[in-house]
Amino acid sequence: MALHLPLLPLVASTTTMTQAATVVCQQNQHQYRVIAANRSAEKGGIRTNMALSTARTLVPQVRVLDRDLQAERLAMEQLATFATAWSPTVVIQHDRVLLLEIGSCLRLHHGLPALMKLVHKSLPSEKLGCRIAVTPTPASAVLCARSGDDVCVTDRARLISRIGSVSVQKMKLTRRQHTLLMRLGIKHIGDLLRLPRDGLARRLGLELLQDLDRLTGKRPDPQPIFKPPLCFEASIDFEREMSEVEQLLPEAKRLLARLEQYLQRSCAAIHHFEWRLQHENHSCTQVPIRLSRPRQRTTLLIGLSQLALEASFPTEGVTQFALYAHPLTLSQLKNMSLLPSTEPCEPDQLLDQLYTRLGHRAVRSICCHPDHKPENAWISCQPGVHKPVFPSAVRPLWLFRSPRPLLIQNGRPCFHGPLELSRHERIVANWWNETPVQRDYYQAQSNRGPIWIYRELETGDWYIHGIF
Amino acid sequence: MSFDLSQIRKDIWRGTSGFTNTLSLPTGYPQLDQCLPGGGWPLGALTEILVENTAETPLWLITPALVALDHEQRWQAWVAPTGIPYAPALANAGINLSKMLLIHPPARNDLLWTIEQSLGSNICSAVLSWPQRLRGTASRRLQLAAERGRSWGLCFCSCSHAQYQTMAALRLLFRPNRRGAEVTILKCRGGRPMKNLQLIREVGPPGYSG
Repeated sequence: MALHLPLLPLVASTTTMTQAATVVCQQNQHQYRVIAANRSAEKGGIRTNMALSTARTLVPQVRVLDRDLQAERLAMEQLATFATAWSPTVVIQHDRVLLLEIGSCLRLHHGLPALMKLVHKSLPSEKLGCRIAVTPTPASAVLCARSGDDVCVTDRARLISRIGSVSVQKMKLTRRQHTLLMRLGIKHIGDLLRLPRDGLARRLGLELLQDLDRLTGKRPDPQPIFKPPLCFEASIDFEREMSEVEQLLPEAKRLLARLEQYLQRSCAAIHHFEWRLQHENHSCTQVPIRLSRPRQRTTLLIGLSQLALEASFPTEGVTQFALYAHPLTLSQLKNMSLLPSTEPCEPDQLLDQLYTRLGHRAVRSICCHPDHKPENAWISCQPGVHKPVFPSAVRPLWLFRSPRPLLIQNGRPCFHGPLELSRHERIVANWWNETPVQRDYYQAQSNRGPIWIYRELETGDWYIHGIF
Repeated sequence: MSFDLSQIRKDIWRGTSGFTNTLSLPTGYPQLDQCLPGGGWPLGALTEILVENTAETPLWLITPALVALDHEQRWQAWVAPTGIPYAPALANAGINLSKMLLIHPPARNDLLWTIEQSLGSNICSAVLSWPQRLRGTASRRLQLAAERGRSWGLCFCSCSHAQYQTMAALRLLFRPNRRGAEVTILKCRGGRPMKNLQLIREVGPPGYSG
């Protein structure tokens, strides 16, 4: 199946569609030529490949746009990505043609008529001037679509009779080949096919013969398959400045819906994405959001986006709102359990919410650390990581953030009254680095229960370090 | 003719029997279990423990319950603890550290939001928090979130706020002493307030000779 989109330059070069006569032109050998013309321009007699001066004489008030090849390429890639929903094999052909291999996915779409209907419905055919040709070989599909009719041929015998009536000028011909064919009186491809092959190869060159063979399917015609790019960008421009998060949320929802569609089409998932808020003075606020694991569904992301936008919403108004997501990773779908309780819960959803509002540094887990210094015997780590547990001596469940000095009465340490000391433990460590410890620890029974105290060996000061 | 209504209608609550339909978790201290309706900490509800100094949290009171909750394989969130839950000792006590979340929200608003999200997410079996004080609306929201997420919400607050009403299902005033603690049940859903309950700490820290 080939889709020819002659009006794509028109759509790509302008953001506002008008009914007024408009043409897109490109400089070609010192002369501006019309590449695409809209309907009202065509009514005025303007045709493609016409010189711009001729077009201006025909319709004096015609609006002329320069061809934007970059935008056209982007639009083509977007369409190709869109087309991967219909077939996995999509090829971008030069000169605004999209080629799809549909033979292998007809059953999926319940037959050719249903697929055609779907394609017609999904594409803004009117705007793009889209022509669809369905033929057994890629080259013939491109040829038919470019010749300007809707063609639907599925068997090879009918294909030859159908392309027989197409003008030879639609083929790629050199000037020499063209004049020779005109001189021989050959106007249609059918005439070419009827000629003896060896003579054709001798007079017009082997390449033309090979082109003909590709058209009829006698020669294989492999095509480079389009791969959707692994990044997503979409933006919305506002006519007036937006100054509230609530105003942006519906737009965010729309952009995320587009992202989700895109992710499903390209079997991808996102690990992090970014909102970019453009201001009047061309400065830009970036709001990045990281997810704890790659996701394909974006239903949860709207809540996260709201949290992140609320946290870092700029004071200036927003004129453009954009969503960037890349790189994308290929999604690895996990099997979910049927029964809810059999599998341990994954905290991803909660973690993502917490990370987005509080930041990654505020949400941690703890684990043991092999260090003799008591306050270093634990470290914070990333949640969900299994770390080894080291056997330790008797330690208090609750440690103070920093040891507190104890009151001394009659030469003995006190904590809400006198203490009974037991279980002495000397910790001398880290003399080999900058934080040496020389402490005598005791378990002490106080009027508030058992506590953990120590005496600094160097100074002789008493401290309380934790409670059991 | 004797007519016992409770024989016909099982759902009628008689003051002495207490609620039996709420889930509860044994505290590990039989003296306390006897006084609590359902025989333990109420699950899917908010428990408020009032202490004199929140920087000296009596973790020994709740560790047996936290260890018991471990089989649920859900997470346990610690929100804004005022000290350091000491990993080596917690691991010794049998708490699964890999299922622990330690969250330090930067502002008070974030703190309440974090507690509510963690309680209501259905991902945490217990959410321990140190909000210092808890008032009407906030406590109501947390209580509802705990119900929604079937989670044990636990707040350590300062006892100077004991006179304010909160919506917690259980409010305890905790005073540690030499042998254990003196617990006053200020409020208890489905049970009765009780004064000066002596809690004797037999379950010491592992290896503690005391």
